[in-house]
Amino acid sequence: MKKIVPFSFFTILSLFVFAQRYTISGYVSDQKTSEKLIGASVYDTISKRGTITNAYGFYSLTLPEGKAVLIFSYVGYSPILWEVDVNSTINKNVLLNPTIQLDEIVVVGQRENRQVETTQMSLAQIPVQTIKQLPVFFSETDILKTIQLLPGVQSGGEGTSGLYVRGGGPDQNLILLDGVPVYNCDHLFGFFSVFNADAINNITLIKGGFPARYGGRLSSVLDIRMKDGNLNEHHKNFSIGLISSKIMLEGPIKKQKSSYLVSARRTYIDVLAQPFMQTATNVGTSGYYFYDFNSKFNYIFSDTNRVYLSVYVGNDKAYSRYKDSYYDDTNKYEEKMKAGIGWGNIITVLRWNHLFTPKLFANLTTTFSRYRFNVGFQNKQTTNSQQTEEYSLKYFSGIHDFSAKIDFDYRPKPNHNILFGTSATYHTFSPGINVFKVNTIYGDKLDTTFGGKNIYATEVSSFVEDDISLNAMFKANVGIHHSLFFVRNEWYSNIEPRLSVRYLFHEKWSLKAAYSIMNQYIHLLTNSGIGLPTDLWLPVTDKIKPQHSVQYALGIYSSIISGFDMSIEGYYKTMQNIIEYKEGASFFMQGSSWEDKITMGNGWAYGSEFFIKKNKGKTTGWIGYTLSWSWRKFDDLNFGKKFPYRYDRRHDISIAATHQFSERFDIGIVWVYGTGNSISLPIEHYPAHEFLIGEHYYFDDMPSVQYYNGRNGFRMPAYHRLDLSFNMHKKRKYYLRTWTIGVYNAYNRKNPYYLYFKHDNNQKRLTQISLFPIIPSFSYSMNF
Amino acid sequence: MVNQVYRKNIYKKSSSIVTLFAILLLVLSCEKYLDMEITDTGRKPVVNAVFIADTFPVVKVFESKHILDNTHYKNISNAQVNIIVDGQPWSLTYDTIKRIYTDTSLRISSQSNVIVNVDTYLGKAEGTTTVPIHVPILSCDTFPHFDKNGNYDGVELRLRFKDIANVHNYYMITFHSNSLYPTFDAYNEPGLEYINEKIFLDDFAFDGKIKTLKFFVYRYAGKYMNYNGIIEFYLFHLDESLYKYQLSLQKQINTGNSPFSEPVMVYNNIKNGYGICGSASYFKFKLEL
Repeated sequence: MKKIVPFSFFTILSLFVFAQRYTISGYVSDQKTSEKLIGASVYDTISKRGTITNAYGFYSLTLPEGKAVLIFSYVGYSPILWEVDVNSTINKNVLLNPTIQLDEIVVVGQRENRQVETTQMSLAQIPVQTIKQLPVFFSETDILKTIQLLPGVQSGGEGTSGLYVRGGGPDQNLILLDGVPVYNCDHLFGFFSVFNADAINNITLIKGGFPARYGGRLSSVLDIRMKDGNLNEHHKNFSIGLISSKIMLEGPIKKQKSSYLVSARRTYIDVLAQPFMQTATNVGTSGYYFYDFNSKFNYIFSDTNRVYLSVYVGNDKAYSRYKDSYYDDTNKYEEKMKAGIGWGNIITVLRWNHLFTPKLFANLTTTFSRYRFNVGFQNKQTTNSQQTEEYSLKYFSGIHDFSAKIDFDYRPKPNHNILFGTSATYHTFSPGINVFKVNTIYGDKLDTTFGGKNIYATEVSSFVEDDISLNAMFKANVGIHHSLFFVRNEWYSNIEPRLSVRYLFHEKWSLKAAYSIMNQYIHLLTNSGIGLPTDLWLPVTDKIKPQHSVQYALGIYSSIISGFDMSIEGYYKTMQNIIEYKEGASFFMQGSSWEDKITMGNGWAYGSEFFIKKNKGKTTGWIGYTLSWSWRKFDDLNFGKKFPYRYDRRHDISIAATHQFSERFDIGIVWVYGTGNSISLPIEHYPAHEFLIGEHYYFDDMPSVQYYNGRNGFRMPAYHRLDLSFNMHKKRKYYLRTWTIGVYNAYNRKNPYYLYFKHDNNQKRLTQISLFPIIPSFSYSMNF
Repeated sequence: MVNQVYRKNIYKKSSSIVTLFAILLLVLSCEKYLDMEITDTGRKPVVNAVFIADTFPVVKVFESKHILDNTHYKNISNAQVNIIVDGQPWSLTYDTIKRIYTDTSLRISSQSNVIVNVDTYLGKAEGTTTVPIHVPILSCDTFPHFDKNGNYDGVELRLRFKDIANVHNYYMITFHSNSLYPTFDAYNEPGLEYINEKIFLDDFAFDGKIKTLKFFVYRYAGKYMNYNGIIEFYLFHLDESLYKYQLSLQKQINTGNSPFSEPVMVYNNIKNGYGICGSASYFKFKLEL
């Protein structure tokens, strides 16, 4: 005991003496554009301590007094080495230069060992540049389609943007644009996503081991950050494609003080098709278009205060108009008809970053997010220009949220990164409202509203997490997320513990494990997998309980071969209170409320994901393979027996690669293979029992029973496809022009989209509809 | 020079082949429909055996068909159909006119346990059921009905029956009239489903209680048609299997093979085959208006 006391005293004293620490903090940005670099690494080679920048490019590293050699590095940028004497608090903003290799090729590379070192598992980050190089449908760069190429992430089917992550549904993904949930990510019935890559800075996908700062969805988080806008110089980008054109403008409003970014895209199928439509019919016209618009402004008040305002508006519209007139002996009659279907999102974010101390970064955000779907029909009839009859029907559904959030990033020591915060969201759900109006000269007048009433709900969540380095080998991210949801006088409260651990058992090998509990208070009622915008977002109610999941994941990571990242992950996920339509129910079913159409049940999914990624060299890309199972069990479906989820995909392979032949020419290749979807299809039929009383025992005209080999018991044919793209760049006097020639489905595989029974000459056949054959496309872009 | 010409030729040929290939692919890709195959696992016997209390047994036996087979259903007339009623075996004979297996000398009484064994060229099939007891309709009272403004607009009918306590019971109610148009306004109630003019009830929400169902005969029906007439109500007390079968069957019929409707699996309790082995008792109530 006598020995222990002085020893302890000495230890404490030593800690005190050596505890003279100072903080180096600042932002890491792109030298050319001043865009903040998210996830950039800051590492001291002497103390072997390091950190990464947060979502706003901010870092803070507290080091012992003395000499430090810091390396600032980031994907595709030349690292910077900085020697410093740490003897006071230092503010250091760093500008990294994009990799430029004279006489060589510009490559998109990623720092080695990064995925081995971090605690976060089941994470994927794809540089926007890579996304732009990969081939896509109609040469439209699509973030979600590229995300679908990662292991553990599946597409629903041909052309769709929906994400099915680790056996979960498309509503179980928290898709954030600048931190705001986006409820509908589809344009053109799911064939394109709403994210315009020109305006995007960073994309992060998390499939498991969710940090406590995220909540509200079961299966994944897709965090998409918009560019802030160039603080140094003005840039323009124009792009003309087969079906759409894009423009992006960015630049400083006041150099190094404030900047703007404006980006817009619109399709012109309607404009191009208009002359053909008018030739085909001289009384009516119809068309379809979508557009989206992103803008972002930011103002740097000081080193400690910065404000951002970002706005996204996107809409799809399909319309039809008809006008006809005719005469009798005395009168002229006219009829006008308008019908349309439209959907779209509006998102606005106002954000204030404040640095309280070099160790404490705060972020206050207020947001508005709205998704709305509407269908309209109007018919007007006039006689001698006097209105005689008017009918109109409008249907709309949607959701809108007002939200406020404050979160803090506190880095007291190099081995702690503590994040905490709270948020409150006020949801308004409109589950299908109809407005019907009639007005006739005969005095019939009707103006009525019917259908589901608005549902109001409040969601409050709080979190705290700490990324702790226990020693050089052990690192953990421990957190807790608490959520509250109030709807129709019902409170739901859930505590969600989260844990991720990393064991670095070799410099280039690590083992990671994660456990996370998630709850979800909103459901998506969908009647098909093709991303119909008729899908309804609905809250939990007194009858419909919150979705709940528990996920376990284990993985091994390696960067043993220079330039390659490899990983093998296994996961097991259980899901409770997930919803499905009841047997026989339909979106179009009248006379019953949405709550009566659905049933609740459970699901579970498990599988392994193999991932090899090449980060360096002329050829970059990845190969992903997923072996997985996804099951559902509902008391009211399939007689209570388990059945495969529609998107249960045993094998899923994706190969994505880009090769840069020269500064002027690069190609992209994507090949995907997936086991066919599980669908319910009858395989036999037989006569039903006719329930008649008395002497009616004849079987003529008796109904037939369609026998299914269980729900989702039939496998569609496998899906596979090869896409190619060729990008040709040329530096002109004032701009860089790029021709992109793409081939979608290069070997013209007829992939299944939909199966149905066709009756032809008294013959019944099972027929497959395929959507997209080989589709060549091109686009032309100018980057000023 | 020769080399250049050679290269040009090669280039020309390659271009032609590529162009031809591209055109061919584009033409081929116009074919969007593709016939698919469904594995044929072979035929199975279909046994439709529904026993109604106090009537003679009726069993129908068919051959199932592959889903792409569009021909008429084939009745199996040479099967061995035996039933065991409360331990007593009976052999049913085939009625070639009605195309049923029956024994008109036998009456199936309520609470009997019935086992059906069918032996066909497709194999043996089996089912079992216990016939439920009669549940009478207690009354069907009529009341004048008024709209929101207090105007008389028809007749409200209240059909009452008492559920048997401490047993899980299942009911199906049908109603018919040759001259009137009674309606049943389906409402949200646990255990109640109204499909194809059949009311299905699961008694978990009214175990042992008197159940009242409301029907209406609206005035307009009487104004433009015959206001007087007879309505027949049938209250079927079903065993669980028949309830599940009927409910799922009606749902499947109701979807009409719409691609926007969720698929419905029809309940099946025949071992080694398809169909239903179920039973019911019924009570008929005539109401004269």
